[in-house]
Amino acid sequence: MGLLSEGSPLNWEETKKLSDHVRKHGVIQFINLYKRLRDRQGDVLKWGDEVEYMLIKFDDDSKTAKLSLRAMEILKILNEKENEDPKNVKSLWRPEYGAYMIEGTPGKPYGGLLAHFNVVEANMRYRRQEATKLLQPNEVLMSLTVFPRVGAPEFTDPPAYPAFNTGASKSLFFPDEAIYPGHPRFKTLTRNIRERRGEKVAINIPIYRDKSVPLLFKEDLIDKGDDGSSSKASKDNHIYMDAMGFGMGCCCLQLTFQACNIQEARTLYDQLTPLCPIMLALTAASPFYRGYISDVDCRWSVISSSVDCRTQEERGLKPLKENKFRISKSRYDSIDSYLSKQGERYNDVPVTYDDEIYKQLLDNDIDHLLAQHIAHLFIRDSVSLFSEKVHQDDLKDTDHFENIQSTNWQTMRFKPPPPNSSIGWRVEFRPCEVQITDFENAAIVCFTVLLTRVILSYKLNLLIPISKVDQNMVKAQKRDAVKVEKFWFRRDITSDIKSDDAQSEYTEFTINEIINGKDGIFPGLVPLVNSYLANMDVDADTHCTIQRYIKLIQKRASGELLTTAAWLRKEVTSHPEYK
Amino acid sequence: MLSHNLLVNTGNILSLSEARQKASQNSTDELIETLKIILNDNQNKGDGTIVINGKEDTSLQDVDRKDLKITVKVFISSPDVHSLKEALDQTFKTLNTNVIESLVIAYKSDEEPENMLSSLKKIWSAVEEYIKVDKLSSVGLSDINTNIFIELFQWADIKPNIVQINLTTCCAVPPALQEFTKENDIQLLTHSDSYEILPQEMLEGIFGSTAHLRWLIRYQIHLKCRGILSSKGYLLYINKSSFKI
Repeated sequence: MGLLSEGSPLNWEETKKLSDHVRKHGVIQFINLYKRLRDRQGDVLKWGDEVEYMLIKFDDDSKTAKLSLRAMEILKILNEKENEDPKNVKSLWRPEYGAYMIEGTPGKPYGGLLAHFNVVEANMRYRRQEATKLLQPNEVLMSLTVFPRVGAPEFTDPPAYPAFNTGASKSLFFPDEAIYPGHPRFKTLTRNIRERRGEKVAINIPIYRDKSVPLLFKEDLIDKGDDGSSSKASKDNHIYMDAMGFGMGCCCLQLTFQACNIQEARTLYDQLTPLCPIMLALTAASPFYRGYISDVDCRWSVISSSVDCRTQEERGLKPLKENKFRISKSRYDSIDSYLSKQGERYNDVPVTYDDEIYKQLLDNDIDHLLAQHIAHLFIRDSVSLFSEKVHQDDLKDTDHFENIQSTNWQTMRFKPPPPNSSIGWRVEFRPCEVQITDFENAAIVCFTVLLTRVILSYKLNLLIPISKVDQNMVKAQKRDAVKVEKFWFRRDITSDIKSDDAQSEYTEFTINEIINGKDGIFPGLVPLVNSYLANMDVDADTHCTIQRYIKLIQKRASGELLTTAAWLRKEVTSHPEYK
Repeated sequence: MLSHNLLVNTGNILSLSEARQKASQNSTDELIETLKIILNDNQNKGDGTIVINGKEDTSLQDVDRKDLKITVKVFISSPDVHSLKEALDQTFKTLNTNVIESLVIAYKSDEEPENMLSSLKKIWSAVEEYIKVDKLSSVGLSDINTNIFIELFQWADIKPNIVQINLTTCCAVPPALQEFTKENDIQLLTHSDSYEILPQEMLEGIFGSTAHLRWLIRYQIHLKCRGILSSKGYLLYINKSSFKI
């Protein structure tokens, strides 16, 4: 989930005082690293996936399933191998927000050979087995995006109860015990985000309506200990949630690619941006919260609200007095601007950024697009700071830059090379929801990596205005979006012909048309991938593996196969005991 | 009988967006489409060898040769070693390279198995000459009967190390072939070319009724460690006689 510095966390009052200090030095650190690394060339393709899992404990007698809060115990053992021999492990394990969550990645990144697609699923299976071996009887490791009963009474094992007056979240539903206790970052973030915001976070997701749901769905929150603030923040006919854990306690599937240089990284960052909502809709896997069925299929807006640290002033509810900016999005949201020259004309949403920082970056030879991006990330305050890390050597360290960068949780992340390493400029693809099986996750991962190769080989142009990507993000989360919604997409992705009016460059397509093509009108991403594969001398084994993955993507897109969210809904609503 | 020869070099067809747009087309459709586009721009007529060049390939100007992998597939339908050599030499010249990392030979013939094997032996002997002087690294054959391949393999001085099969059948690889390739460390690769990449009637449709295809090669240039296809093109050598043969 970001930078895990060891040490003593500072509280919000102390962190707030150091906000400008972190920003000031973070920008200098970026300028220094940029000067050092801007001309770095010739890095090869390396890439890796990150899968998050939850531990679930079943009780067959009482017929219950609960989140098992043993991640710390299990991680301790999982990390032993890495500590002994970090270079030769097949998997790496990291903590995540939930005390029931673990994150696994391959021990080494994959490379540019197509044969690597043949080991992705096997490595995912290895990770699942490795962690499963450490479980107790009745415990199961699941790659579920959201636990259906998260925030329902006694959803954890051992049971824990929300401390709505004193906890880090002050939640009525999500106890602090469900936050990963092994690293101070998680509770600190929780507390600081809430304190910075000036109130608890508020997440309202429309409830799914059918005959089992009363015409007016309204909960009595006072009964649960509310001091009145939750009742005010909750909306009728919505599932109300009030803690960071509802969002950051979700699991997702992420991918990181190394580019050959900074230019290619900027191109990939931009070209993958219009794919974020499409891949989000295709991987939709989170229809339930607090034991209720919601009317959305994806986690995105839940996480976005769950870490929304903006004050009322910043959200535009009050005139600006204490704060500097009106900010239109949470720090967890889709990106606000493209980074490549080709993308510049599609930056149609005004980007809020810090003028002084922007000017400072320009003065140091950083171009407008990158300067705007960094100055935009730096409108945020640090929400997690450790006393040992306050004073740094700006020529060598990058912690302050990383502090702000790694708490801007956006659909895409543009990542500079870490200090003193052989790693190059990278791009992280972050929208996908995690799927239940390793096969599905491998399919999504391989398809996305293949798309990046097709984009670079055929010099595809997928760009549409940022405002249209934002609209697509909203559509992508709707119930059954794959089947029902139409998405803005570039009309002609294979030629670079620009028209004077950007409007005629894009149109609306269904996901099926985008993935599988529309006869005579749009080639489709899968046919393009297949055309690329035909040109790559793929070995027979790898080819067959990839074709199975591509079939899954095609069938999900056409609606022949249900999305994970649709399947989960069906399982619950068709259950004889559903009420 | 008057005749003249025609060499067509399509150049990097990845820069033809018309071709990219129809992503799902097979290699025959791609080739025909490409030829139409290129011939449209070149209205040369005359005697002797005519060279028709497509778009100049600029994609590799700043790339180090060691980062590239050139793969070539040569389509021939006669065991005439001269055409094969001509095709290879022209390819080295066109691509401005001394070495081709991977060559696959697609030999189309209606011969009986015994004749087929002896034809392939002739072809293979020519190929071995190139391998001996390090002009070719990996070489193999496409769509070949398993028994014939095994016989050729056992006979050959320098062994083939690639077998290419059509991908539509790839998930049902003949078990004998699978086993043999595994035991002998031979790469089993897939392709999606039709049996006859440029059928005679289509050739005539483009180049006239007296056209005869001597050889055809397709090259692909990959940026090795990045999984990127940076160039792809065809070279065709066509003989046209003034009278229909």
